[in-house]
Amino acid sequence: MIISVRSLSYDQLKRNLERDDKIVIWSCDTCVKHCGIAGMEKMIVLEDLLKEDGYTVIKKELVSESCQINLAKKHKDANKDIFNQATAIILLTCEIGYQCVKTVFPKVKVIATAKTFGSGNFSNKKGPILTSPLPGTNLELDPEGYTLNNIVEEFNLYQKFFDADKVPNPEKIMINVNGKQMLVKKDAILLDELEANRIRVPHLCYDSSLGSIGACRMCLVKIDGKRGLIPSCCTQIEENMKVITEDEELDNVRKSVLQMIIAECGEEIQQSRDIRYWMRRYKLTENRFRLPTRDKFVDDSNDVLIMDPNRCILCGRCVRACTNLSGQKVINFANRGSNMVTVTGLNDSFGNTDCAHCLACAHYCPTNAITPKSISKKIAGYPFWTMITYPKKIVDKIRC
Amino acid sequence: MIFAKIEPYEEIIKKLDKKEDKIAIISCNTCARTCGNGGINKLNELGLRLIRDGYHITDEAVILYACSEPILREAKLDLEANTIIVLSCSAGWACFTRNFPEKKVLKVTEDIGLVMTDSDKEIFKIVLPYKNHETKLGREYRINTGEPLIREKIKVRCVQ
Repeated sequence: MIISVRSLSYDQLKRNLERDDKIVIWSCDTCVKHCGIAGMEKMIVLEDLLKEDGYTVIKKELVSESCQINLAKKHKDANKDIFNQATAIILLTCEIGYQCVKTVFPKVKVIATAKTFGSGNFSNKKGPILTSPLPGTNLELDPEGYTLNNIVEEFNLYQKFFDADKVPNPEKIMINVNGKQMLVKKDAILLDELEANRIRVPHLCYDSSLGSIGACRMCLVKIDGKRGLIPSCCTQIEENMKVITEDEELDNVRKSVLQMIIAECGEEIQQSRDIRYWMRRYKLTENRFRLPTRDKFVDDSNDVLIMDPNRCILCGRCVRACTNLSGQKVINFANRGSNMVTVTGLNDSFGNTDCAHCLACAHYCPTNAITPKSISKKIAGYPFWTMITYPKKIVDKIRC
Repeated sequence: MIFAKIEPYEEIIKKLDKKEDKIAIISCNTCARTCGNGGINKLNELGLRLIRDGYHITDEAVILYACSEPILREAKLDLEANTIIVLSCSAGWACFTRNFPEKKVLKVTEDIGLVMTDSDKEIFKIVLPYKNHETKLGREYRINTGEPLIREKIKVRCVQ
């Protein structure tokens, strides 16, 4: 991974902006996110800070890999109207991302916020560390690595995100959740704020980076004055809203939905981490629907990814990740109703598509239907290929 | 992404001992694969060549990132192996060196620079070169093979 550190203070950032600038915040979702200075959460924080100071933020653009220049171009083409209005782009990317964006938007003011120091590791103990510094840093190659703290002290930079300089204070309103008063951000998505306040609501298709489509129906809640059960991932918060997130009826509905999702896919889906968690949470040991034995073709033609349709719950996360974050639009839905499936390209094998290998789809898949390839070929005593990661079907296929 | 160039085969075998070394080869499937020095093809190529030349290979693995400790365990390294060849950039080598201090971890690649890529045109371009490779700034190479290109295809308008 590439190691980058924030190089601008919030005041320096503001000095680069004009009051009437129409700002786009552009963030990478890979290395720089692991360095703690990018990603959707950080973009929201920066947006809050800028809005509070009277600036106009017109868009937040999350890109799966900003060092891929073709993805940057596709993001520009997909949102031409908005980018034509933009007068400033604040980048939460490494210096390579800066060069890509500056090349794609030559006439717009592009403000880089990070300095890149070289490549490094993600360490379990120390977090991101720099092991192979670039020549300008005057540091030597060191397998033990330099922590971000070391770099920040050495080069007089900023370790944390902009909220370390100034705490954002967005407009808040009061709502009532399960009989308790709660202060939440105005105009936010209900599910986001419930999670932020440590109220766990099950959900499979929603992620704040991808937006909501309300496909899985697991996040249903009761809202006073609204008819029926409402998906909290598609609901904007209103003042004095009364929400119930847990009661017997909701538990039963969620249990049924979960059973139906499992019954749609078959037994294999129960190995997925998220599904297992919610099965334990709702004490689901048996399924009242008959589980089908699915034997759809597992596509391992891609160099990096494996796609197992037997595990797909049609939540659309991979479709949204490929369309919104990558811009490649390689993964999509085909057919309708009970025949709906997730396909790659024009129903081609995954290996024959324009996949940019940005891994956004695998990162956001909640059921491991798309996983990175990880292969171990034991030579001594094991004269066959063994897949370490799922899917098991491929292991069986190879062993046969 | 990081572009690292693999040493010639003759240089790699100079670092190996035919009798003593029980070798595991680990290949990175992200940057190294993109730059033509990792992935399953390069792993097979090197592994088969070493086996043919009489080296004792005990284990071969392709992992998503060689530079991330949480992913290292996916390699499930053979405990018998006492030598590890890492087909990745120096960050991947550093990660294995730190995590397997009792084993000999061979560095068989040299970092050339940090690159931007264009997966549609299947090229990558050096934008931040490493030490001793400053002259390669702006050079372009073919994705998956690392073959140098003569004509510039990505016009970078700005250098910070």
